[in-house]
Order: sequence, then structure tokens, then C-alpha cells
Amino acid sequence: MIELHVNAGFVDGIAIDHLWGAAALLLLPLAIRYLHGRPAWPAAGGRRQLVACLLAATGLIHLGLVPGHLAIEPVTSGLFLVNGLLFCGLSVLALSWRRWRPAAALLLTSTILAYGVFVAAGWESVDDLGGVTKLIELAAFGLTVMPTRTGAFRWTGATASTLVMALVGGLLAWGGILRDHAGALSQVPSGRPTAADRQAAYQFATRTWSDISRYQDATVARAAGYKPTTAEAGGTVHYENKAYEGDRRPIMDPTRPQGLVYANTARGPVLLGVMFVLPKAGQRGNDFNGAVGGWHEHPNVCVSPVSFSLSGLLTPFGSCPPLSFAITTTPMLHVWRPDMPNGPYGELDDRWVKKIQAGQV
Amino acid sequence: MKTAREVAFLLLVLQAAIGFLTSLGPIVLSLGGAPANAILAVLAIALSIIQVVLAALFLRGSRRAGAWLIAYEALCLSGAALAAWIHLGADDRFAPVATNLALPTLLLVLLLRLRLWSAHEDRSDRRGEHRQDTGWILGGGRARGALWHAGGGGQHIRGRELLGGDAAGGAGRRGVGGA
Repeated sequence: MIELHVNAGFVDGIAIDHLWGAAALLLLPLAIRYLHGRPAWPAAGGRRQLVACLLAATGLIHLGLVPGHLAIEPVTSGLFLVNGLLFCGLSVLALSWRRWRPAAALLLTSTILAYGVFVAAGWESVDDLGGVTKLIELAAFGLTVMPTRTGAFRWTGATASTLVMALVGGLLAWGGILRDHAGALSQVPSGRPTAADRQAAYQFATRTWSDISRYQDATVARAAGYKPTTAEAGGTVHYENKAYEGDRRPIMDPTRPQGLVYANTARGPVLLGVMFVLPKAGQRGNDFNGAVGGWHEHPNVCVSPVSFSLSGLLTPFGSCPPLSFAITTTPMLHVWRPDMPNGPYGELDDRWVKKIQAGQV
Repeated sequence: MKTAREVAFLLLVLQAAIGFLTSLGPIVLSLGGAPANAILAVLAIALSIIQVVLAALFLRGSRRAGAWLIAYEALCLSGAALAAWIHLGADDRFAPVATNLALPTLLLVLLLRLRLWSAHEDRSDRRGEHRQDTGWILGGGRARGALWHAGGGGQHIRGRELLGGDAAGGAGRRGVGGA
């Protein structure tokens, strides 16, 4: 999960290690000025000039990403450096080089697909800067493959390839978002936990599981007021209790959690854990001095007055379905069954859920 | 103007692709037991298909398609502006601002400029002035004006070919793209 680092809106969705990439965009006017001063600029034509500017923009962003990754992921940092230099070099060459189109198409295709593979594999988080950078690259790709001559076949091919590239890139990025707790933003740890803090967090998880074990039977939960709030046909279902919501709700009360999470199995729902939800957005949850890293909020949930419910998640490019709008959930914390492989406060392990559904756990 | 029309077309295609992507959430949810979301999925797909068709017609020079697209972009922009004003979610973040506010604004400006330019050309035609740039990059559409009436003669033909159109005044009479 990306850390909720500033709570200031515009840059909230950009990972901390990507902020320099966004800042590098401020150099774009200088890059455009440089390109404008090249002898080949006047004769290049509007489209090549625009492609050169877009390549310069993505090149600057990639170069800006180098310092943020250098210490922890030197290989990724090296890839960003090479990619950034190639983009910047090509932005200059695009103005005069005869073979700029295949070169740009190849570089853009490989970059967009490599990004998709990186995020889908979990090696990188999808953030707002990633979405906007891909949008810039897709625009450059579209302008590059667009034919200069007339012909329905050429134009249809160019349009189809741009659409396919946007869809494939978007789908892979969406895979990365789903993998990364559906694009949730995590709370910054409040401190450096001591052994006592860790012990307290462990005891809270143990007590919570002990107190909610009566809800292992979903009919008991329903009788207590818990109702399914997500699609019941899904692999996991969230149940919520409206009596425990509102401003006067119980806060982190193991006997009265706001939500329960079940896995759908052939034998009926199997309790996986609970969900504590705070009343107000932006509120800090008790993380036992940083020992619990699970507090998060979902800023990318789309709801629709048409379906009267959740209608999806923001795409990697930041859009909701039609007739829907994005909302930010209030902070929440999951406490899972003690045998969850990632720990009681960790990210829910899909393979573990599948084993439960198969009756192997 | 040719580049402006190409850029507008490309941005419309990208916006349609994003529209297709937005349909996936409602599809998954409707399959998972929330069937009302199917309406949203169908709407998202239908709007994206219509947008691509209108973009192609606009590229060929259809003013009516341009007018529909202007109305659609204005609607998208007002919706996004309203959402940003109410501000319940991530509307003020970098990617949503770029996609939901900056992109429709850019498209609206491009489409309106092209429309104004086209109206200006019509006035020039009525005054008997020559067209300098047809803007019909596929060589199709309703290329009205001096070039059209001249049947693509002499120096106008060269100007038109330089701009990417065909010499005879449009594939609209011979099929898309003049092939």
C-alpha cells in the first residue's frame, strides 16, 4: 500500500519515492524551450513537435524517479535512468531523425508493457504519477502510430492499436491496484514500536479473535445485526453492523467490531476476521506506536446513485464509471484469524483464502 | 489545424479507452451479485463506442459529430467539476484532475477552436476567399467552400495534398479514406 503521506489532496496519490518524478515535470518548460531552439524544430511539423514534447515529459518523469528508488531498488532505479535517457534522447531525435516513428513506437510500447508487468507482479505500486505518465505515453504512442497519409485501413489500425495499448496497459495496472489492497492508502506509523508495543498489538489481535469467535456461525452474526454489504457471490464477503456505525460508535472494541469478513465456501461462510472502522476521514487509528501497519483508507471507491451501491474503483487513470463519483472511506483496520500467513494485521493472503475455500485449512 | 484535429481525435480515443476500463468494475460487481451495476457497465461501453464513432466522424470532418462531442465533453466536465466541488473522494488528486478535468477541458478547447475556425472558413467562403487549410485530414467529410466548388483545381489541390487530404475533395464521395 502507498503511505498516506501528506493528506493534502493533490499529491496524496503519489508515492513518496515518486514525488521527485512529479517535481521533474516542472522542468518541462525548459525542455520545450530547448527543443524549440533546435534547428530541426520549425521543419518538424506540429505532430513531431508534440511527440517530442511528450517524450521529453515522460523522460523527465523517469529521470526524476531515479533518486527515490536508488537506495532500496537500485535495479529499478537503473531501469528508470536508462528509460529516461532514451526518452530524452529520442525527444531530440524525433525532430529530425527519419526513423523516429518505429523507434518511438518500440520504446513507448516496451515502457507501457514493462510498467504493466512491474505493477501486476507487485514490484511497484500503481500511483497517480504512474497513471498520468502512462496517459502521456499513450498520447505519444497514438501520435506516433497515426498515419500521415489518408486511408481507412491505416487509420483504423492506428486507432485500434492505441485503444488496445491503453486497454492492456490499464488492465495490467488495475491488476497491480487490486493486488495492492485495491489501491488503499496506509496510515504513516506513529512511532518506532518497542517489544512491549508489539506484545500489546499481538494481545489485542488474540483477544479480538477470541471475542468474535461466536460469529464463526454467520447466522449468529446476522442475528446480531451484521448484514452483507459486498456482493455475496464474491470470494470474500464483508458484513457490516449499522448499530456500530455513526459518530458514537465503539472504537476498536473487540466485542463490537463494525464489520466481519467471511470467505464463501461450499460449506457456507467461514469467518476470516473483523474490520474496525473509525468515524471520520483522516482520523488516526491506534497503531500501537507503529506495531500495527494495517490502518488504511480507500480514496478510490466509486459509488453510484443508480445502483445505490459500490459501482467500482477508480481506474489507474483516475476515472469512475458513468453516473458515479469517488468517495474516500473512513480509516479501517482488519484483524485476521491468527493463522493468516501475513499475520493478524497483514495483507489478506489470497492463496490462504483459496485453501480455506477448498477445505484444506 | 490538421494537427489540432488529430490531437483531438487521439484524445477522444484515449478517453474512450478509459471509458471502456471503467466498465470493468460494474461488470465484476454485477456478476458478483449486484445486478444493478450492469446498467452502468452497459452505459460505459455504449458511451465509449459512441465516442469512438463520433471521433472518427469528427476526424472525417463532420460538424454534427463535433457538436455532439462538444456537448459530451461539456457534460463530462460539469460532472467532474461538480464532483470536485462536492469533494467526497479523490477528485482533487493528480490523476483524477488530469483525466477528469484537464483532459475534457483540453478537448473542449480544441473542439471549440476547430469549430470557430470552421465557421470562420465558411464566412471566408461566402466572401469568395480561398481556403488555406481544409482540416479534413482523411480527405472526407463535407468539405464545403471554395476548394469543394473548384473541384480541386490547380494550386488548391497542392495545398490540400500538403495538408494530408486528397486532391479530389474528399473520400466522403468515394468511401472512407478515399481508398
